Amino acid sequence: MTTGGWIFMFSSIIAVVSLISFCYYRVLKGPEANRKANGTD
Amino acid sequence: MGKPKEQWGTRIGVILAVAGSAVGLGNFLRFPGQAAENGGGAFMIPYFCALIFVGIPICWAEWIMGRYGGQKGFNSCPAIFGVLGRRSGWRYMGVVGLIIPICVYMFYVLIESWCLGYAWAYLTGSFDLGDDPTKYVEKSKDFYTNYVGKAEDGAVIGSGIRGALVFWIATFAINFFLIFRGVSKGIEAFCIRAMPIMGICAFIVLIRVLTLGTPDPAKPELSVTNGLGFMWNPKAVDDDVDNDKILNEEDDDLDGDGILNAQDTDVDGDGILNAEDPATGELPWYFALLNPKTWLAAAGQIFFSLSVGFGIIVNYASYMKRNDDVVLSGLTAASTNEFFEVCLGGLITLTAAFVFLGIAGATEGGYDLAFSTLPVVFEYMGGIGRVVGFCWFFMLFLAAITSSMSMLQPAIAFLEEGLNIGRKASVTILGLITALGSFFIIYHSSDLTALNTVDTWIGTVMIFVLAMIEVILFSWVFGAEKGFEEGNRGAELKLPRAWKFIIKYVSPVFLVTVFVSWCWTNLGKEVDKVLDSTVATMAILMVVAVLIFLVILIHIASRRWNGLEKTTQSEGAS
Repeated sequence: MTTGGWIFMFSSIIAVVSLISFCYYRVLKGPEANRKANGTD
Repeated sequence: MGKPKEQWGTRIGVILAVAGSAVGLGNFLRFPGQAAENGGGAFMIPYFCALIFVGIPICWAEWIMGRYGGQKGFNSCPAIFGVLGRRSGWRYMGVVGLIIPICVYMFYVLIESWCLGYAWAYLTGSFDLGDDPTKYVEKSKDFYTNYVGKAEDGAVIGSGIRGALVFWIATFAINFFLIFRGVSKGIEAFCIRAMPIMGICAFIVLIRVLTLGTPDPAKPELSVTNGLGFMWNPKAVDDDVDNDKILNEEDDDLDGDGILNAQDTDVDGDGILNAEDPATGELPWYFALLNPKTWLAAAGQIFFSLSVGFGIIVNYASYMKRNDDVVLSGLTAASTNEFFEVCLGGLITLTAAFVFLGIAGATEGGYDLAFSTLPVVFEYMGGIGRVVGFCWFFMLFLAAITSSMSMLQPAIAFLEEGLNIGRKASVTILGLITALGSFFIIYHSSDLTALNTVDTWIGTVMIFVLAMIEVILFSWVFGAEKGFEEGNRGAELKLPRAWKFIIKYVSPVFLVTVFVSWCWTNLGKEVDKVLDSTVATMAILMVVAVLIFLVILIHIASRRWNGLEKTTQSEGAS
C-alpha cells in the first residue's frame, strides 16, 4: 500500500462518513423526529 | 383521481427503503472491480464528481417527480409521466419504467436465491471443500457450476428437486409475501429491520478481513495492506484499446513485455505512439484522470449504484405526503448507499480475495468472485470462515431482497391504479408474469446466457433510456424552475440553485455521452451475441412480449384515466 493509496482510502472514507453523519443527524433532529418526541405526531 | 391508497409510515422508513433498493450486489462486487481496474484510488476523484454532478441531481429529480405524481393520486411511472407531461403520449413512455424492474427482477431473484442457498449451506455446515487446500479452487468452482447449472440448460430443473430450485421458490415466495403486505407493513417494516442487520453482517466480515494480517508467512506479499493497496493505490490506467483484456495487435504494448500495464499508454491521447508516450518508467497516477475511460467508468458506476433510471425512486416517492421533505431524504438515502459501497464494499471484497489468492483471485469479476472465489477464501480462514461465509452471503441476500422487492412495487401500483383491480389480483398477475420469465432464465442456465442477455439489454441499456426520458420530461417539459420550487416545498435542506442548470444541461449531456460511448464500444458485439445464440434471441423475444403486453395495459389504463378526468371535469363544471 503506497502513501497515495492510504490518502485516497482514508479521504474517501472520511468524506462518505461525514456525509452520512450529517444527513442522519439532520434527519434524526428534524421536525418529524421532534414532533414524535413531543408526542404531537 | 382519489388520494394515494398507501403511504410510508415514517421518514426513516422511506429513506431505508430507497437505500435498500439502491444497495445491492453491485456495491460489493462491481464497485471494487471498477475502481481497481480504472485508476485505483485515483478513480475516486471522477467517482465523487459524478456523484455530486450527476447521481444526486437525478436522484432528487426522481424524488420530486414521484412526490408530485403521488399528490395527483398516481403511483406508477406511466400515470406520473402523463401528469408531468400533461399529454397521454407520455404515459406510453412510462412503459420503460415498468419493463425495467419487471425484467430485472426475473434474473435478480435467481441470484438472490443463490445468496440464500449459500448462506443456508454455511449455516448448516453443508458447504465443504474438503481438507486439501490445493483442491479448494477446483471444488469451489465445481460447486458453483453445478449449483447454478452453468454446464447445460435445464441442469437445475431436470434432475429432480435440487437445492437451487427450492431456494428459488422460497425467495420468490418471500418477495411476494412482503410485497402483498403493502408499502408500509411489507416493504418499510422489512427494510427497517434488514438494513441494520445487513450493516452488522458487513462489519463482522470487514473486521475479520482487516485482521487477517499475513496468513501465509511464506508469502509475505499476500498481506492485508497489499490487498487494500491492490484496490486503493492510485495508478494510471492500462490502455487495452479493444477492451478485451487480452494484449493483441490492436493494443499498445509500449514496453514490449507482453502485458498491458501503466507503461503502455498513449499519454497524449493522439492515438499514435510517439516521443511523448514514454516507453519506460511508471506513469504518474494522475494520468488516470486524463483518460476518458476512467470518467465514464466512474459515472457509470454511480449511475448503476444509485438505482437511477429504474423507475423505483419515482414509485417509492409517490407514497410520500405533500410536504414531506425530499431533498434531505434523497441525499440521506444516497449517502447510505455510498457508505455500503465505499466504506464496506471498497474494503472487504478484493482485500479478502487478494490475501489468500493474490492478483489472480482479486481480478475475478462479478458472480464468479462472489460465488466461486470468496468461498475459497472463507475455507482458508478455518473454523471462523463458516461464520464469516454465512455473514457474507446473508448480507448479500438482504442487499438483494431489499432491491428485488422494490422492483415489484412499480408494476403492482400500475396494475392497481391502471386496471382498478385489488392487491390480490395485481400480485397474482405480476407473480405469473415474473415466474414464467424467471423460470425461462433458470432453465436456460448454460453459461448463464439468458441471464446475461436480459442483464445487458434491460439492466444496462434500458436504464439509460429511462433516465434520459426522465431528465428530458422533468427539466424540459415539466420545467426545471417548477421542479425547483416543487422540490423545495417542505425541504429541510434547500436545493442548490446550480441544480437547475445541472439537471437541464449537464445531466442530459452526460447521459448521452455515456450511452453513445457504450454503444460505440459494445453495441455491435452485444447484437452479435443475441443473433448468434438461440437462447439469447428467445430472451429478447420474451422481453418484447412483456413490453407489448404492458403497452396494451397502458392503453387500457389510459382510456380509463381519460374517462375519469372527463367525469371530474364535468362534475366540476356542474
